[in-house]
Formats: sequence, C-alpha cells, structure tokens
Amino acid sequence: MATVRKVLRPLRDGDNVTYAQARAVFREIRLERERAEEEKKAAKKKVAAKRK
Amino acid sequence: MKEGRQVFINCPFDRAYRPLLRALLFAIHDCGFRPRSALEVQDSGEVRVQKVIRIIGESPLGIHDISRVELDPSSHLPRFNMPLELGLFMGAKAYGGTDQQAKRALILDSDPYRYHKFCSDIAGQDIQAHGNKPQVVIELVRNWLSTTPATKGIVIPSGSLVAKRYKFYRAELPALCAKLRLDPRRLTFHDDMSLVTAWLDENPWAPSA
Repeated sequence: MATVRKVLRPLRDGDNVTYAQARAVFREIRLERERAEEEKKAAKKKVAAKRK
Repeated sequence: MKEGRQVFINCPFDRAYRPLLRALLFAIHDCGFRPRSALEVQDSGEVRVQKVIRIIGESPLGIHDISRVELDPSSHLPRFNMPLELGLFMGAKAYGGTDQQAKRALILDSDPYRYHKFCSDIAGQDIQAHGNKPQVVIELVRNWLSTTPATKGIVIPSGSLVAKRYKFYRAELPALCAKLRLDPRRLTFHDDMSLVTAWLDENPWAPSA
C-alpha cells in the first residue's frame, strides 16, 4: 500500500498568481496555528510541572 | 497529469449550489483527483457544448448532480443542462472507443427517487442522494473515487476525515480572502480551484502510520 502523502498529492495546473499568493497566506495561517499550539502545549507542561 | 484522475463535473454553477460545489471541488482534490468543468477556460471563441464535449472526452470519470432539475421560478421551465451533459457522457461511454467505454459516472440527486419523475430512463443506475448536505457530498465522492481504477492499491482516508479537513479549510478562507482582497461570495471556479490546491499543498495528509 502506498502512503497517503505520497499518492494523494492534489493535481493542479501550472503556477498561477492566485495559487501562489493564496499558498503564501495559508502558510502564514498554518505557521501561526502551529505556533499557538506549541505555546498551548508549553503552557500545559508548565502547569503540570508546577503541580509536581 | 495522470489522465485517469480527471473528473468531469456536471452540476449547476449558481450561487445557491455553491456550498455543494465547493465541497465537491475540495473532496475531488483532496482525494488526489482533478475536477474538470466547462468553467475552467473562459474562451468566448469556443462554443459551450463543444467545450463540454471536449472535456467529457478527456475525463474518464464524471460526477453528475441532477438535483437542480426543477422549475425556474421566473421562466417556469426546467433546467436541462445537467441531464443533457449526463446524456453526452453516457453516449460517449456507449458509442466511444475502448477508453471511452471505461468511463465511470457518479449520479447525485437531492432525494433518492426524485429522478423517477423526470428522467426515469436512468432507473437502474446507482443514484446517490446527498440531501443538499456538503458533508454527504464529500463522503459520497470519496467513497466513489476510492472504487475507481486510478486508486488501485491506494487507501483514500474516510469521507468523514476529508469533511473535517474541509471544515478547517472553510474556517481559514475568510482570512485569506481578506488578505487577497477577494470577495468570498464572488469567487470564480478558477479562484476556488486555486485556493483549494493552495490550502491542500500547505496542509497535506500526514503520512499514514
């Protein structure tokens, strides 16, 4: 069985401006979300450590 | 481009149908296929029906939503583009060469037996009802695509998971539209295709365990 990541790459036309700009904005949003998740995890760890 | 992964979309393109169309586009892309439509090229020089015939010929798969075959409130006449294009697709399969005979279709309607009243000749085909719910459309499309020859040896994640990703995408869309100065109510087919592929490239499926 092939892995999902390897096979399920969406098909698309060549580059276009809307795609390129949208991808840059979605990247910002993703990074922001990941940063927030990391901060949340770190805060949880801190609370857990204090309880110990 | 893998030819076996092109999916002709035969559905209405009005604003009321947009939520279902967007879910459809997302599901097709997220399953690794490519939607094809008469709207993909804006060329006034190509007669619409010729464009449709060309795209049908190039697409081994077709999704036909006949749920909007209903009386237009102003003209009191039914909309027949979808049954016409379904007929073209079935004709290509019936009379075409080996490639065309391998065509596969998914026929969607809002209710399970509504088509009996206006298009009974298609009785006997497996027609799926989506109840006008985007999540159901996603699950039906995913389940159907997972049975096509192009997915032999590939596991496509469950429709419920594709639908969950669609929710995330929809949640991020307003911020994106604001930044790019796009009106979310006025996105064209081309805009939708670009935005969906951009989101999927930034948020690929995690590798399977």
